Amino acid sequence: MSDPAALITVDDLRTIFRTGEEVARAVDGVSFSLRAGETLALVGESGSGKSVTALSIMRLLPMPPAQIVGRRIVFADRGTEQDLLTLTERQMRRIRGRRIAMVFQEPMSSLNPLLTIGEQIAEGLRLHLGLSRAAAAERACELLARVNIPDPVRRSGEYPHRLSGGMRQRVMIAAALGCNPALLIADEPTTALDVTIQGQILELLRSLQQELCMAMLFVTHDLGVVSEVADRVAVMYAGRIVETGSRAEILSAPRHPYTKALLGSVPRRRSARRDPAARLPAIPGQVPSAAQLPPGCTFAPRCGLAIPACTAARPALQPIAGAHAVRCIRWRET
Amino acid sequence: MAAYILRRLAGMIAVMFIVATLVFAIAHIIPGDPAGVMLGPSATAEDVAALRTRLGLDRPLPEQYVRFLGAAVSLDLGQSIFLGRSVLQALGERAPLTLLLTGMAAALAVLIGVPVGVLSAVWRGGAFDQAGTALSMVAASLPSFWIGLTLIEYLAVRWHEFPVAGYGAPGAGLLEHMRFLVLPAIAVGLPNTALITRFTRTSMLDVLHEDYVRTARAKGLHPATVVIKHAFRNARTAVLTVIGLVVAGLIGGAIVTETVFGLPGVGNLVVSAVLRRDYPVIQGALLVISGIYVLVNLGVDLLYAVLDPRVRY
Repeated sequence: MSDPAALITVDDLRTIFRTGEEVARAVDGVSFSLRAGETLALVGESGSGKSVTALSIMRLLPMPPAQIVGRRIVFADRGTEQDLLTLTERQMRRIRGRRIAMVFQEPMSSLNPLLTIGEQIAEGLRLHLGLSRAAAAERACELLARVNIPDPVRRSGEYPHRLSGGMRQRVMIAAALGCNPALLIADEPTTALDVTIQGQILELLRSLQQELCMAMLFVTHDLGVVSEVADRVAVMYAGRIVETGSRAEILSAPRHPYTKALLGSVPRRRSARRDPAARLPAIPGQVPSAAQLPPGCTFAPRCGLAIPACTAARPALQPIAGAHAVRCIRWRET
Repeated sequence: MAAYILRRLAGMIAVMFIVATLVFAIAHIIPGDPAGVMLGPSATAEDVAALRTRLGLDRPLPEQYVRFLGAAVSLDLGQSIFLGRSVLQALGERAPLTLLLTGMAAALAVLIGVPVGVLSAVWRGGAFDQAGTALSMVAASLPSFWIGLTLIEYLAVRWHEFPVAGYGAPGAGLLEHMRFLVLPAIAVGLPNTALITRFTRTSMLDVLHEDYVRTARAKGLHPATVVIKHAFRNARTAVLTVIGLVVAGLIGGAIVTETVFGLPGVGNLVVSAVLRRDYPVIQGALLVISGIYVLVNLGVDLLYAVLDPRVRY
C-alpha cells in the first residue's frame, strides 16, 4: 500500500461520531495514496463516508462529536514527511489553504456574503504568502482572470450575491489555488451546478491541475464526472473502500457487486432504445446507518450474491491485477 | 436610498400624528374635568375656571385638537403648570442627564453583552458558556430598581465607592457627572446586558454552522479571524436589531432608575408631573420620547444597509 512517491498517504483512517452512547463509524479503515499531479476520485452514495474522509484530511470536522481514532495521514510535501493527525492546530493551519486547499459543494453558501470577492481571495494570500494588501489585491485579480471571470478588477470589488453559481464556484477555485497548493480536495464541486456549467468547471480544474502539477482528491457521487476527471477511482460504501483501481478498470471491468450496481443505475440511452418500458435498475435497500453496521461485508444485506460466509467476517481488500483491488470474497464469480 | 429615507420620514410623521392624537386624548379620557383634576379637590371654582381658560379647555373639543396639533408641529409644547417655565425648557434642562444615563447603560450592555455572547457561542457548552448563561438568567430576571437599591446599599452606603444619589453640582464637569451615573447605568444596563448576551449567542451559533465559516477555516485562518471577520460580521445585523430595541427600552427604564437614584432627569420630571397632574409636561415628554423611539428605529434600519451590501432600499 505504501507508495514511496506518494504526496499523501491515508493509512487506515477511522473517523467516528459520538452522540451520547451511540458511536457512528463514518469512516471505517480507509486507505489510499495520491501522487503529485494525479487525480483520485472518491465515489459513493450519500452517507458512504466520502465527505467525512475529505474533511478528516483537512481536520475540519467539528470535534466533538467527531473523533479521528486511526491511524495516520502522511503528507510528504517539499521533502518533509508529517503525519497530519499528530500536528498541532497551529501547524495544521499552516497547511490548510497553503499546501492543501479545498473546494466545497455549495458555491451559493460557501462564500461569505458580507466580504468582497477580492477580499475572500486575498486574505489567504496575505496570510500564507505574506503579500501586502495591494499586492494581494492585484494577485486576486490575476487569479480571477485565470479562472475566466470577465472584468476581474470590477468583479473583485463585488459581493457574492451578484454572481451566478458557476461564477461563485470559479471564485472558490481561485481562492483555493491562490497559494499553489500541492493537494486540492474537491468535495462535489459540480453537484450544485447546471450540467453545462459542470463541464466548464471540470475543464477548468483539469487545466489548473496540469499547470500547477497538483494532486486532486475528487469526491463525487456522479460516475459521469468520474469518467471526465479521474486517473484512479476508489469506491466507498458504508465507510469503507470496496473497490479501487484505474478509471478504466472501475468503469469497464468492475468486480464488486456494489460497483456493478452503481454503474447499472446510471441512465443510458442505448438500453432505453432497446426496451423503452425497461425501468432504470435501482439498488434495493439503503446504505446501513454508520451507527449499526452489519457484521462482515456491509453490502451483504443488499447484495444478490451474498452467502453466509459474507456476513461471517469482514472481507479484506483483495488484489485482482496491478492496482485493481476489491473487498468481496466472491469477486471471481461476479 | 434617498427615496427610502424620504419614505421613512413620511412614515415617521404618520406615526407621530397618531402618537399626538393619543397624547391629546389622555387629558380627555380621564373622567372629570382636567382642570379640576389638576388643581385637586381644594381648588376654588374661580381657579379652575381660570386654568380652563388658560389651557383652552373651554373651547370645543375639535378646536382644542387642532390647536394641540398645530402647537406640537411648531414644537410649542405649552407651559408647565407648576414649574413656571415652558415644557420644552423643562425637558431641555433634564434631557442631557437622561441621554448620558441611557448612553452609559447602552455602552455597558453592548460592550459586555456582545463579547460575552460571541465567546459563549464559540465555546458552546463549556464552562464560560454555562457561567454566562446562568448569570444572564439571573441578570435578566432582576428588576432594575432592586439592582439599584442593592448597588446603593453596598457600593455607596457601606463602601463609599460611589455617591448615593444625585448628579453633582450643576456646574460640574462631564466626568464628575458620569461618576454619579455609574451605579444607575449598571442598574438599568444589567438586565439589558443579559438580553444582548443571549441574543448575540444565538445569532452567533446560527452563523458558526454556515458553510462560509468552514471555508474560512479551510483557508487556514486564525480562529479569532474566523470568528470576528467571518462569523460575527454576519451576526451583526441580528445583534443590531436587539441593540435598537434595548436603547429604546432604556429610555423607559430611565424613569424608574432616576427615581431610585434621585436623578433630576426626564424620567424624574415625568414622574413628578404625573403625581402633580401637570398635563402639559406629561404630554410634551410623551411626544419627545416617542419621537426619539421612532428616530432610533430609523437609525437601526439605515444601519442595516451600511452593514449588509445585500440590503438595498
